[in-house]
Amino acid sequence: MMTRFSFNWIGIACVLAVASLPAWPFSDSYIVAAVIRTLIFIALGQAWNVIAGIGGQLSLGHGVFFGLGAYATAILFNLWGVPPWIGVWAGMLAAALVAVAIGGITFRLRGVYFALATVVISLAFEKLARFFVDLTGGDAGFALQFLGDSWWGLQSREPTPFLWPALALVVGYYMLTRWLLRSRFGLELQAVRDDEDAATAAGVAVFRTKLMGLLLSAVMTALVGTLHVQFYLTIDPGNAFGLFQAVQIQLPSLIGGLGTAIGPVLGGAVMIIANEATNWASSRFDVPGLDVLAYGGLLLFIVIRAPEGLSGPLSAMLRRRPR
Amino acid sequence: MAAFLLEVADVSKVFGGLVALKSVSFAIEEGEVVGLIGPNGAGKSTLFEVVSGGMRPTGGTIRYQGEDITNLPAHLRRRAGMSRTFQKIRLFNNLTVEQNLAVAAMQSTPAGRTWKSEVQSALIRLRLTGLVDRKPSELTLADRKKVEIGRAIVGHCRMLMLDESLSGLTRDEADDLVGEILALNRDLGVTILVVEHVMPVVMAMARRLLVLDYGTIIANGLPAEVARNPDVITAYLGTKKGAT
Amino acid sequence: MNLAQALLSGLLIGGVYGLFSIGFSLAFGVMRIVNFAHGGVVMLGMYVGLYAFDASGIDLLVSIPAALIAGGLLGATLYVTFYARFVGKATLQQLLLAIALGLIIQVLAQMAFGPNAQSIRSAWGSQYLIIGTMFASYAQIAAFGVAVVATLAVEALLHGTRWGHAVRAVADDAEAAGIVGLDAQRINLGAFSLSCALAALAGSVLVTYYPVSPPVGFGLMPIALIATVIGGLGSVKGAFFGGLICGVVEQVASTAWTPALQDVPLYALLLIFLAVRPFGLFGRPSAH
Repeated sequence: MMTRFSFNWIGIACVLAVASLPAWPFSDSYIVAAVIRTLIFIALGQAWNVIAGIGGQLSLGHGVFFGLGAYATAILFNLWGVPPWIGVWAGMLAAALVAVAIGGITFRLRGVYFALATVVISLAFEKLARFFVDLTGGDAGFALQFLGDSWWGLQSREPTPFLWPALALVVGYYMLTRWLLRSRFGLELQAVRDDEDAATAAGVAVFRTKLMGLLLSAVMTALVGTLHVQFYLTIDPGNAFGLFQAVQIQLPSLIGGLGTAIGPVLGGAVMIIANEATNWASSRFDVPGLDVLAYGGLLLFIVIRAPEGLSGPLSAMLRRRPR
Repeated sequence: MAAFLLEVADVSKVFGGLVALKSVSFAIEEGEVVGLIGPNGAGKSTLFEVVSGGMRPTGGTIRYQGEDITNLPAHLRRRAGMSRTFQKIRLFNNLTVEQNLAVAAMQSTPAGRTWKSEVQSALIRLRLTGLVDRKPSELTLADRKKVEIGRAIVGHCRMLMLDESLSGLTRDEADDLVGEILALNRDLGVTILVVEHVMPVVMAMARRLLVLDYGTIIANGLPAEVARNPDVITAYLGTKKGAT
Repeated sequence: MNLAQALLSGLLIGGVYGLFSIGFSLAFGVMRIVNFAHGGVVMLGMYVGLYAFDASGIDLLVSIPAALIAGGLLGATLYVTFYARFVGKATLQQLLLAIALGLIIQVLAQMAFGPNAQSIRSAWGSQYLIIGTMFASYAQIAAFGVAVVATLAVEALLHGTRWGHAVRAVADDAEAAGIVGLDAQRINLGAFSLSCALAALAGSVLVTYYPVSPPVGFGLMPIALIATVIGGLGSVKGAFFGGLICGVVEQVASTAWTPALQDVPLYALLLIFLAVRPFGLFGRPSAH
């Protein structure tokens, strides 16, 4: 009891600290923007964690849902003047439809088929996005028409207004994940992850459970995609659908602890620090691909040495702490 | 017509060209304890899978509670009260003992009761209440078997199918588990079908035996009768049949 | 460009696709390892071919044995260091490990060989055989020939030798194979080395007419995945035919539609197979 109490207080303190960041003396728009980038990154990890961490279905193509959220909002806005408040729904709907299609085809099968299909789907989207230049801007990417500060267009000259929605998203996803882990649906997902045959023998509708898990995860990812494009004002095929993006989405949960609520949050925060360090190093030493090497090495290390991520040892430490 | 709980009629199963089951028929009444035995490769596992829904038969029908369930998905059979265990224990390794049972209870708790009370009573019945927060990896083999049986009986369970549940246990543990299983039958009226290839174990439990050999039922009757049946003796001694 | 030409080119490149898909399929069939780094090994094989050519001037004769040896050694190293612990279960961790290795191989290649595409200026890469209105470079034909010979050799190895029977026994049931006295770890080591040797071999012949750059490795992975699933996960001859189909579909799509989207019909093909025939052309439907 003591540990949960203190854990919650640490969490609330962190949220308040981030929320009040712009008022802090040393804070400037560079720091605020860096924090927003981190929050977006964490939210993506949280969304992926739902299907991969809790449901055990390795999606290597979450960029598709992210990209659909970003592109749908951006295209509707630029071409037809539809505000992102409505575009976001289109993005989530598109992600949901693609999720149902992929899941519908592969979730009756077991094992690696889903992972293979997600690789191929994301490649297909990348190729299509590069090809249909009129719609997507092609290789160069797509830039949102900039309106300056606008509520209607969900845009701002300063990063600060994005801080609170991004924080709300992360907190919301965290609460959702915590609820999910104890809910009936979440237990079903975890049962399917641990053993599909046993889940069936317990009466769980395995196919439906996997499909609903992917659907939820896809919609969560698309929502982050919208926030991403509003904040960065640009999206390109590699950034949206590329393999590297798919790996990036996985890292927060893997580092922090797959299938836990705190994992992606912790992992995302650690990742950004590592990211800043590699950015600094590559600017200094001029070795191209250093960031990829760092990510690859990190992934390798986690898989081999720390499959539980950080949250395992951390929660054990907190549990053991004498009161 | 007598109300059988389970009726297997003319069921066959062919893999590629290999006939695993040919025209198997038998029926089980509510409240019975039936043993299904046979030498290795006789088709016991296939029959078990076909009845529990893991595989579709190539031909024939399976009726449960009077309804045709031949094409009913396995998870719906469980919700209708037909449960199973696995030859090699399969638990949800990252969930606690309580959650292992809760997943199943949530699927099939009868109206008017709550899944929490169902889990609680199953835990008490199997004397697992001290282990609720443990993960399966922290349990002994005997306790893991109990958790698996708990997951099978929690909520609505009318028929329990056990696939070699006693293998790997010490004699005392096995006796204990047999006691628990028979108590389920006695106290709750759960119909039980046990698959075993070790004769003495099943002789002690079952009140009726089905013997499967080369994919067909070669004997069906009281344990003592079956044990004297010359066909059964031949099957177990491994003499090649039809090799004349 | 006409359709017949597209078919011919597709078949020729499809043979090489088939060759590296065989290796991928072998690793999956025997050890249930989904080696996302397989393309990286193909890419390294291409560099081996490139440098062997630069050093000797005689491409295939030197590059083939060099690539086979280099690939086999790399495979053995990867297996012992990383993959051995994941044999038998294509878990999330195993897939991620393979992706990490693929990324690392790509970056290391970029550091060693530079980011730019390089190609061989071989005498016979630019000589063409002309048949009516169709043409094919001698390099393409030679690569196809090597692919066919290697595929037949692997089939013969698996079905005609004691070692091959042992490999297939382990693939069927590693536990049972252990009981009858087969050393599964040693057999797996051999099979994985062979898988990587085939990847490097495919690379060394591919480079005779296809430019190499570090990202080529990941670029080839979708073909291996699709060819393997179409052929039947784990089937050697299936993977080869899957590769041929991929080559033909790609070239026809490129001619009849647009080169930029030549792979998109392949992706659709994979999804169709997953929906209606997930065990592929040569695989067996599983019990479930």
